[in-house]
Formats: sequence, C-alpha cells, structure tokens
Amino acid sequence: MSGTVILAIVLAVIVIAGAAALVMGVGAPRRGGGRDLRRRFGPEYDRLAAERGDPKAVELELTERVRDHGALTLRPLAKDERERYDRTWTGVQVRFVDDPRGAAQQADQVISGLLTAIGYPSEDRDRQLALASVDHAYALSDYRQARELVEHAKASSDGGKSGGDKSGAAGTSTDPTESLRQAILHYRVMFKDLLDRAASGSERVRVGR
Amino acid sequence: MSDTLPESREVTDELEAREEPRSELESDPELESEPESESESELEPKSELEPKSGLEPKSGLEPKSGLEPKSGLEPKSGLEPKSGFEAEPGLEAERGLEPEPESETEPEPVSSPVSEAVSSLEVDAGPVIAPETTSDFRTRWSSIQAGFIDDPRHAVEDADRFVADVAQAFASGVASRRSTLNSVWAQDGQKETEQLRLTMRQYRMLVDRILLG
Repeated sequence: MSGTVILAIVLAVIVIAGAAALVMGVGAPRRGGGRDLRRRFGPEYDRLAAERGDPKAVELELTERVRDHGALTLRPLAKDERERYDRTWTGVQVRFVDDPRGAAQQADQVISGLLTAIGYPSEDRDRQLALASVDHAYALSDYRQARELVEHAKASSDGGKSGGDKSGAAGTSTDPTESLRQAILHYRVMFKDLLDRAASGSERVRVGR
Repeated sequence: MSDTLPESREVTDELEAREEPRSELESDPELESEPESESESELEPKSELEPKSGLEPKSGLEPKSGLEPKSGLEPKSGLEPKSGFEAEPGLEAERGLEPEPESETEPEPVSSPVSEAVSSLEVDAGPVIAPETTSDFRTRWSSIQAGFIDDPRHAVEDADRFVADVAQAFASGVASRRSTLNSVWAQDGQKETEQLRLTMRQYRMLVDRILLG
C-alpha cells in the first residue's frame, strides 16, 4: 500500500481513539461525576452509601467535601518535622510491647496531630476525617478499621463478649493484643499516607487514586 | 584521678561498718564527703582503685557485706524500653557496692609503689561492657522491639539471639578483667598483705558487677 494510505489509516485510528477517550472522560477530569467520586473516594464512598442508602445524597456530600477541601490551606511538612514524626511512630511501635493499648491510643493521637499539622481543622474530629478523605480516602478506610479493632480489643478484654470478628481482619482471634497489633498496622497505613503526601506537598487529589 | 578519700577512721571502724545495716552508714558524715576529691597523694592509694569514670559514687552508699545490691537499683538492667532502651549510666552508680575505703589507717608511704602497681591496671574502670558497646546494644534492642509489631514471632527469635550476644559480651568483659587482675598477683606479683588487700578489693568490685545484674 502506498505511504499515504497508511498515513491516513494511522490518523484515522488516532482520531477515533481520541474521540473515544473524550467520551470516556480521560484527559480532562470531570469533577462531580458520580463515577469519578466513586473512584476517588473508594471505600469512603461505599461506607457512606451503606449508611445513607441514597447515592445522590452521598455524591452531594462528597462534592461538598471536595469543595470545602479546596478552601483549606494545607501545608507540606519540612524534612525534620517528618523525621520527628517518624521517630514518634517508632516509639509507638516500641511502646506496644509494654503497653499495647496505650500504644494504639498514641497511634491515633499521632495521626490526629499529623492531620492538624498538615492543616485539617481539628475542632471536629469527624469533620477533620471527612476532609482528609478527599485526599486519603483509601488510607482512611484502614484508619477506620484500626479504630474498630481497638474497640474489638476493648470488648474482648472486657469479658469476651465480642460476637465474632466484626473487624473483618483476617485471622483475628479474640486475643485483644493481636487485635491491637493489627490496629496499629492499619493506623500505620494512614500515618504513612499522610506523611508521604506531606512530603511531596501535593495535597490535591488525583482522580482515581 | 585523685579522688582520694578521707582516711580518718580506724581500720576496725571500717570493718564494722561493712557489717552494719545501711542506716548507720548513711548517717556517716564521712561518707557524705566522699565525692570530694582531696587529692592527697600520701593517703591510702586504694582510692585510685575506685571506679570513677562514669560512676557517681553515691554518697552514703556503702557495701555492707559487699555483695548487697542497693535497694534503689532498678532490676531492669537497661533492657526496659521506655523510649526504647533505658540508658542507665546512673544505674551503674547505684550498684551500691563502691567500696569507699574511708576507714583506713593513716596513709602509709610504704604502700605507694603498690598502689601504683595495682592502680595502673585500672582494672575496674567502669561497667564490664564498654559504654559504646552498650549503646550499640541498646540501639539494636530498640529496633528489635519496634519490629514486634510487624512480626511478633520473629521479634522474639531476634530477642533470644540478642540476649545470647549480650551475655557473650558480658562474659568476655568479665574474663578480660579477671585476666588482668590475675596478672597482678599470679606470677609472683604480690606478696605484701597490703598489695593483696587492694587486689582483693578489685576482685570484690568485679563480683559486685556480676552479681548486681
């Protein structure tokens, strides 16, 4: 075939591909689209959907969150600050051996402190987490799981009235210490996610993260 | 080092003091003034045998039978992580068995050469395990303990190996000290009672360090 024909075919393919991409919404992120929200908020979306039942309400709320998040002034953390947080976290892990529950509590506090340091308002805990979900929805699900595990551990040691593994963590026996250990591992996911993002300074969300 | 000690008590006093309960010793004004350094070279040179560096001689602290651990001594031996690993340089100081030979007779110039011979060994110069090694051990322990979260079983295995290593280091340190001490007297090195007495004290200090763990 002649070069011209080949060239025409190639161009046609590109055009078609481009059109398809546009249709599928690749390239220019469309804020507010339901699918985008679902991708962005992942487990947080699912959680709210299970709670509220109405997908529209969920999308409304999440859209508001994104907007409110945009109004925040979030700041990256300097290297020595991050290193200090790292050392604190190591202390949490070390503390676990002596005081599992205290270590879990401290882990939660470190995360709160980190959220505040980054710039998420701290007056209302739930709101702080909601805003953080805009950038950290997936890690947040680990965080929530950690909190459940801590509750589970408390219930276990308060007389073993825990009805099974509602935590859902694989292999969690009623051993409260194991629950707390898992909790800290999940807390760490959130911690690392916050810290890593605070390093790059890119606190703005990427679609589909 | 010239932290010599006041030598105004009789020998018998000293011996009795060793057997006395602690309260008597703590009220002893002599002991209070121990940390002062009266650098009188003609005083009993045994003061040179006191472990100085890194050890604060606790005033008022006196070995009773020489082997009694101070009650204030944390049994943690440095392996209790608070912020990781408790660095207890002060722990050594509380051994409580620093023989503070305050009760010697008047200084005897005759023993000067002896004291030099023994003191030049600097046998009991601090903890059996050197501070740098101790510091390394602590760092290592800290990371073992921090690793428990990720893999409890493995951490316990590491801890077990770690203890073996520490024990090994300790045993080496003791053997080294013993060997040094031994060289002082074994090959015809000491005959005088005074020399032997000083050496005896060195041995006791070593025993204290071992038993106080």
